[in-house]
Amino acid sequence: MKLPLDENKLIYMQIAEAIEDAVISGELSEGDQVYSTNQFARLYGINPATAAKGINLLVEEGILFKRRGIGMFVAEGARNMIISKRKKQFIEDHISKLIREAEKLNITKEDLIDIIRNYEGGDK
Amino acid sequence: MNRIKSHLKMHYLNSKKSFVIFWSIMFAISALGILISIYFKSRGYESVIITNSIVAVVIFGAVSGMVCYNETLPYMLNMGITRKDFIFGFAIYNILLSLIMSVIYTLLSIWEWLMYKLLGFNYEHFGQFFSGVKGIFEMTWICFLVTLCATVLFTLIASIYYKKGMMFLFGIGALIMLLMFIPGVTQAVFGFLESLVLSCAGGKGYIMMTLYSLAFFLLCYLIIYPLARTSQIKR
Amino acid sequence: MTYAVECKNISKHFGKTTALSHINLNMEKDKIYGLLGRNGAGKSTLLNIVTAQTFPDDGEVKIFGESPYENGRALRNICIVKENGMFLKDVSVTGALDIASSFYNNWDKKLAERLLIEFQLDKRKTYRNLSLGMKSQLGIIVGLASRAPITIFDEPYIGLDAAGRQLFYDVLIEDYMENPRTIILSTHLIDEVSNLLEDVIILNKGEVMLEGNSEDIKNKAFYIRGTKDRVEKHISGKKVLSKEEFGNTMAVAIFDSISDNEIRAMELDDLAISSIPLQQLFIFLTGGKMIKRGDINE
Repeated sequence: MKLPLDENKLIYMQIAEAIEDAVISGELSEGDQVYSTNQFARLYGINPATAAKGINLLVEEGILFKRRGIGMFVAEGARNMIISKRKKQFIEDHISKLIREAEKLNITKEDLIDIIRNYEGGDK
Repeated sequence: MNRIKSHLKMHYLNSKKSFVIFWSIMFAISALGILISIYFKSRGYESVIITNSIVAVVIFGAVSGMVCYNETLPYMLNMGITRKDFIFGFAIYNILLSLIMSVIYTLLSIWEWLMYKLLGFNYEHFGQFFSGVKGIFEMTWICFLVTLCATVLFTLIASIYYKKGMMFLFGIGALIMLLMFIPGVTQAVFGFLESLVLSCAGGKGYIMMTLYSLAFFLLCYLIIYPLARTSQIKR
Repeated sequence: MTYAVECKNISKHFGKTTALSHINLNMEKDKIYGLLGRNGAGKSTLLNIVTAQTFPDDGEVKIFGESPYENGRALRNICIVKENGMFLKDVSVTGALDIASSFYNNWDKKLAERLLIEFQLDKRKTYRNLSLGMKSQLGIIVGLASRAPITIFDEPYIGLDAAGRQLFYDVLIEDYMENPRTIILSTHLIDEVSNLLEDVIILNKGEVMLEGNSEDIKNKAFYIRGTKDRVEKHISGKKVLSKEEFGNTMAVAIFDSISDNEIRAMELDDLAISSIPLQQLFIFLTGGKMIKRGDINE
């Protein structure tokens, strides 16, 4: 079976995000070994070089580290790194959009906060 | 050596089917001929029986040289075989095919001779056309030489066709016809052929024939080689 | 560095038509290349020249640094599988594999047998009696089992259904990981193979139109959609492939790099940005059709 990919996004970014998601959800703990390039290639049906690119992106960010001859592992503090990165992204991508959209609809910031507070269904 | 073995295996697999079909038909015709002869003999007809399958064998050799060249050259080029290796392999295939054909031809002849003699017919084999050639080995050898010449001639034609196309081949044909119209040319050619045939007559005729055939074989490959070396795959 | 395949200034003409003009390409060892182009773009001609089956009018080819013309040592590195199938018509599947095994030095008999079972191909049938799809399967088996350092598939899937093609792609990537080699996939079914490719070469009208890492190329191709004036503001100076307006809305396809800051600025202006899939980019570049509304995802 092959996991589906979004063809409108870069593949290596999707690989990196998949690993990050696994770390955030706790599927992968710090110190755990990550899937190898070949396993990713097999799982998604992609070129191993592309999978390696996604993994290397996380190595550069310090989220993964390499043990020569063994493989890639989740670094100490990786989860916090990812979360703070995602938070920043979240604010940039979603909050700014949310506020701008709210402004268009004449919703004040206070109203928006109330709406969020009273919103049901978003919680797990 | 290993490469040559691979070439021959390829030719074997490629020709196997047509080869088997050809000889099945030949033996079937032979058997049918015997049955018909028995039928006519039972009706009281009596005459000299003459059989010979050498013409069919030579035609098979010719067709096979032509068809196999056109089929296997692009196949081998696609397999990453050099043209040089292909030609070398094809020449050996020409020789082996002619040899095997002539051996089976001889076996067929012996079988017919045996059958007709056993059934008490007045039988003659066309192979005795060559005066002085009466033994089994000589018969096989001559069949081999004639088949080889036919095969190589048609391999040559195939190589011209592959490289230059049908129109060029027609052009050569037309040119030869034109040459024949020049006074004296026809006579000279036939004179030459006649002297060739005559020099093949006599007790040691097949030695001359061997020499001529080998010379013809080499001459043809001298032309085939540069043609094949510059042949390209067709789209 | 020695390249697996090197094309230097290759040109080829058929009569008055130019099939290839000044092709310069370097292909590295152990990479998967996609050779993409429309019918008649010159893909097959180029591959025939690379494998020394046809001669170029000009330029030269090097296979691991050596000219392949009449060079058995260089040619032994290559296996090419073609769409029209280069097999002997009266030879059975077993026979064809037998011949291939004696000519390709790295032949993997086990893989060939495994694939025969996976494709459920009848070994005893002669090539003449195979269906189009079966012919393609035989070609694919030969290509994969040859394990040639340079394996070329020139549109090898005619008559194969989606499941059959998927099996081919799966086995290809699987075996490539175990035995890395240079693979050239010449195809126009780009969406199916784009994930398999490391590098892409787009041929158009006999010329190399684009070459490079497939992800890098994808990272330079975007759809941008939003209100007309805002879109125009952001795309000034960028290479636009296609532009379409409907009312006050404008959708463009651009082929240019965009920095993170530019993306941020576009998002602030409510522009929707998405990558252009390789197949669609190919259609834009090779002049297929105009952009469709449905192609733009919000």
